[in-house]
Amino acid sequence: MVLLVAVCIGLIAGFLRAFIGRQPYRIYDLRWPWLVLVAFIPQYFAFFNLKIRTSISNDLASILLVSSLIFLLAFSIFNIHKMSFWPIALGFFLNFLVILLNGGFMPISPSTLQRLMPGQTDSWTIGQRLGYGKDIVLTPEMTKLGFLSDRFLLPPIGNLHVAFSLGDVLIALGIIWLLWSLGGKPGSIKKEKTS
Amino acid sequence: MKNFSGKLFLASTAVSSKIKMILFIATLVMFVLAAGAPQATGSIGG
Repeated sequence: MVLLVAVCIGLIAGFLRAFIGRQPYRIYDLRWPWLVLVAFIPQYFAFFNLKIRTSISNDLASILLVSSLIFLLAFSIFNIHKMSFWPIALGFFLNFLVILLNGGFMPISPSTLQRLMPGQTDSWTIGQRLGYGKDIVLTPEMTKLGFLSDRFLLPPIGNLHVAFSLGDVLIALGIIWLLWSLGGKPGSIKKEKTS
Repeated sequence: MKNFSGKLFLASTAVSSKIKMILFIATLVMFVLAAGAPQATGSIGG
């Protein structure tokens, strides 16, 4: 849920910008938005719904993840015309690539897991999916494009420990930029749209 | 009557712009959740 924090930061920054500049917060029409809904529904059941995700096999979960990412890829291509969408689309593409090349899940290394969950080595196995999430535990030798895997860590916030990828960073920065830009003057939004 | 329909038009425009904004943000939230793959422990999902 850490990416939701980026959405909140972007929204607050954008609304503040609009308020200070005394202009409305201007959204624009996304192209083919239903593709996102089509992509999100299978992921909701496979990863987010606490009851249903336990009854979905790892193979099916990886198939659902990759197929939903194909819909998101189409959505990204249709919406690439807006410059602040570029880092979001690039971040998504990097995540998609590393997931596709590593058996349909995002790789995470044992060393990252040891730092993420110290003293819980019995809760994961190399080569297996990590819990009911999108990650799979792979050694660096087993991982293709390891630099795109979940390898960065946030300092722990209370009970919350987070590992994230380069793609996640780009998505977070892009979403903050996009939502902030909507609070700008109409001219700057139009200028950005045409570039 | 003309005044009433004018007010109704303005109200419906305001409501539809709010709905458009909610749909816009909801679409971005769904995209971000589906496109991102952070691993979090101590919370639900990624």
